[in-house]
Amino acid sequence: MPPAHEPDLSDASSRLAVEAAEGSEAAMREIYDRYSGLVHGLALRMLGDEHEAEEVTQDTFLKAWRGIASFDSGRSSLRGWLCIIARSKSLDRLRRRRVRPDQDKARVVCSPAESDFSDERASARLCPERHEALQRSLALLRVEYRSSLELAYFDGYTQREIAEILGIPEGTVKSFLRRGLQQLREIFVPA
Amino acid sequence: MTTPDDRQTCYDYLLESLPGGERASFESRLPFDTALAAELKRCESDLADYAEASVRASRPPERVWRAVQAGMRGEARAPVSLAASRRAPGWSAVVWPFAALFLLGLNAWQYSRTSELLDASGEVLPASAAAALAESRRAAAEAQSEIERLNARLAALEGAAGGADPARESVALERDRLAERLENLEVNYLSLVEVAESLMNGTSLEDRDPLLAERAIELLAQRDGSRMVVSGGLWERVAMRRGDRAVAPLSAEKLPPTYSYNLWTVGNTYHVRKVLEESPQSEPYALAFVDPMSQQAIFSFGNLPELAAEEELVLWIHDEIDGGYAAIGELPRLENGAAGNVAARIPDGYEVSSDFVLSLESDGMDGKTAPGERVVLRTVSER
Repeated sequence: MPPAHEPDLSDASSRLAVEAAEGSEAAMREIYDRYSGLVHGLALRMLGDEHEAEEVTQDTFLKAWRGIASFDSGRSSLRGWLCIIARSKSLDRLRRRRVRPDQDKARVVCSPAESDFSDERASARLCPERHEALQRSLALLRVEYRSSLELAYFDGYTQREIAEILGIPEGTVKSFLRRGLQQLREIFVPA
Repeated sequence: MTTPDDRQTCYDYLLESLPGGERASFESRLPFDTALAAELKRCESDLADYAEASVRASRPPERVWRAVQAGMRGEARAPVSLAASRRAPGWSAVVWPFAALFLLGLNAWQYSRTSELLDASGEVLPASAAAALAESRRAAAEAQSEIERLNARLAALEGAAGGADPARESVALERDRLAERLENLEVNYLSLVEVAESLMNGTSLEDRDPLLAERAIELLAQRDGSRMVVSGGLWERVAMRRGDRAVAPLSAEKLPPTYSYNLWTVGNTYHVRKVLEESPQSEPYALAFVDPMSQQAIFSFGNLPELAAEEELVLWIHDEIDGGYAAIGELPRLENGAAGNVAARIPDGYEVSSDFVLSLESDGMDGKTAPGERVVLRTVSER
């Protein structure tokens, strides 16, 4: 099983959060350098629109800046917290669209050429090896669990909506999500 | 010790699929249940792993950081409270003169409606907006050109002298100053483009209401202490529904002719909701300005009902996703009880696009119980 843990950045992230809460722009820049690739990639994946993804990235880090003083590293990781904010911001936009993005848009993933891994700083922060390890782990997830998770996490569909899309009972969706999340934890955490 | 059910609840909470009541109950457990809080952190990390595995990290362009930075610096100067923020300029001093120029032109256009250009697609683009864009482009090009000239001079000086050289330091200082100015101009330019696009893609001229813009200027001037904040791009209609102390929301047929708009300003988006009604003297109405950057809002209410001694008017924000309500303000008790303003902060977890409800409550209400049958006004977007 590939090691898929977040690199040991928790202490550094906590320190950065404290410094940012004290008003350090440099610390916030460091946080941005470290996580903007993930936040932007997540927004792009959900919205399928580069312009909107940039806006969500901006909104996410501004919201983080405003709320960093209340960020509790004991209860949340900086990476997880930023993902939650970015997902929430993206979902809000998806819901406002009223019409769901088409499948192609919803599945946009930057090609390596589009992503900025040539940037030395970016590649150092975004850790492509870790990404690939996580991707290999994700491929182990059963396809029906994966589909349900994608619709719930990236598209913000309710369990009832997922049931309609996949043509299966709502209870089955609930079960898929539960098992999928359970399996996720097992495959992402080496025994 | 947590159970599999607790874990599932954590996931549901993070995926925003937990019903409102259960969500509140879950949150109330967290401060006292360290095992549950730890489980939540693990689940949050699981989902972040999942996101990281599923998306290709894609570094955004540098302009995104510059916009974040500009927002951070603006907020660092602007205190949290609305009253205090009236004293704060709220934006870079370098950008303000350009913004002011643009806004003055835009406001002038909005009231006169005489100077308009047609773009290639036949949409209306105000001449003042086009002029402001051109001016911004020109200033940026000038700054860029000057930076290049200074860089060349710097290179020549570096070749000619070693060690500390006052002339070289002076040129370097000037170059850095211009680089900062260029950066600000770029941010400003992007904002201008955004406003121009909103004008081009927005509603027709008939939908733009000068009175609304005037009121927006008045209220935002109260907030920011300067008319420079306001521009005039009005777009995106959203319906507003009024309950008038009714038990149930009004049916679609009974909806009054109400509209709302978003008002774009340079650097910020102010959502402006306005009630257009035939008899504004007799019905309750509200204007709301919601600033997503600062998560703050100003509500201006009129023609409100008389209050009994034991009653008060409370403003709520409603999260339509989880069904929850949060009290965000009370109307000051006036002698005639007929009008009032509320400055409110949007609580964390609520979006600026949330719906708002004004209700009549018992004096001293706890602010935790959702408004029931005493709704005076309710805004509902057409989402």
